Amino acid sequence: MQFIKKTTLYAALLLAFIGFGLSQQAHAQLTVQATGTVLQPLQMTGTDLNFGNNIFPGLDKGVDRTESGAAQFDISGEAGKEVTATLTLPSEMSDGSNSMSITFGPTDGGHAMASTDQASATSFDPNSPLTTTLDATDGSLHLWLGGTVSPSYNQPAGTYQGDITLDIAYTGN
Amino acid sequence: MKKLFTILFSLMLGMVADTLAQVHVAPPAVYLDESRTSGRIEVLNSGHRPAEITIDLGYGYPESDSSGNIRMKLFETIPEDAPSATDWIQIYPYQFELQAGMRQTVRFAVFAPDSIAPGEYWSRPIVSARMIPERLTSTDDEVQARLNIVQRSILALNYRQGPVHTQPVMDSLQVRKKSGQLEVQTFLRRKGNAACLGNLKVSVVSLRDRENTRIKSREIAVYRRLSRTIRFPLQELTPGPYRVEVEVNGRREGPHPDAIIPFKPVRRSTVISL
Repeated sequence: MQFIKKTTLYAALLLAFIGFGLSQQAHAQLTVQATGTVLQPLQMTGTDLNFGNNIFPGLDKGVDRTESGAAQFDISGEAGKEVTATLTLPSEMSDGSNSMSITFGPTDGGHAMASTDQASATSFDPNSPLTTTLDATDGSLHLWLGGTVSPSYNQPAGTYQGDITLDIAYTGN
Repeated sequence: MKKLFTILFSLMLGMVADTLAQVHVAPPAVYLDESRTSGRIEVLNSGHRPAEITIDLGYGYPESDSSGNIRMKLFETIPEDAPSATDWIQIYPYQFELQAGMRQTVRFAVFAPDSIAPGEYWSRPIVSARMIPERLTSTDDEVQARLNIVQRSILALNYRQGPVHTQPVMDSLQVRKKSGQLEVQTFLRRKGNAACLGNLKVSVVSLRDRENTRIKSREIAVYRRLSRTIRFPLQELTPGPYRVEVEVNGRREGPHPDAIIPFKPVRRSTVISL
């Protein structure tokens, strides 16, 4: 009897909880009231990693993290808090039937507190997690990523794609 | 022949600047207990394209290496003795497409078994967002390539069952001079049945001139064990004897005050000559 009561309660809770989650709403800002926390959410925006047009078959083409074509990740959160940023990088891209290699070296990542500090950013290995502290004043952190593509001498034409995954989390420290 | 000449090659994370995921998730931490078994987060797409959103549950916590450097460790396989809440949590919706400018409430409900021991149980909601790219078209002699960004926000979800208590223990304190810095490294573990969120305060006090004292503090989160290193530039410390005082206390800002479980402060000190 107790089991039935508990099952019914769980079912009711689940239905209520499903009902609340059904709709998407348009809002200019993200507001959260429930399950209180005063920690600012981590936010990310950024710009492309662009290798440009002058790519020749059989010749590596690299973009340095200090160049304008480097990817830029702008992260913001609670000032002075420590975060871990982990990039999962592809070793190749595919057009569905052909592949093309891409590599990221141990100094292809850069990080700084100010977005204007790309050239003087501290380097890091994008193949390893980066743990650092958000700016003590405005809670910002900026990452840059370069890389190198290596088209083969007979790289087939096509549209090549791959994924870069950026994990970001507060460490609580 | 055409292919041996210029391959028009645009490798990009998206075709235009706004294609990087601009999906925001809040709050970054959710605390639940027996009286509050459901919680929610909000996901907002502030980009200009729809985004595919997937929410998974992982298990992990901050851990440190031998030098006191910290990273977030996510376990591929959850250890059997881990205080994991991952198996009891339902997410709704756990997968959806979020149009540009829209937000979606995501709910978590905890269905904890009756048989679990009192204590704190952890999970890490992982919110993955992938902006849906524009279709690429290429001509016969072009190679185009794009790296799609997948943004993953790793949140904390802590569930407390019954009475919870925590107490840090300082197993070791090491003080050394290295690379122009005075390094103060603490080795902590915690007792009790819940994570220890606190503050690590290090004071370097001159035994000749009490005015010449340097103090630094860092928030700490001891889920199991944690080593933390705090550094002081040696050039700021005049030569002489110093006492290094270390205190772990519960005074910290951050997650909701309910998340901080009070504990007895821990203190330790040592003397060093600089």
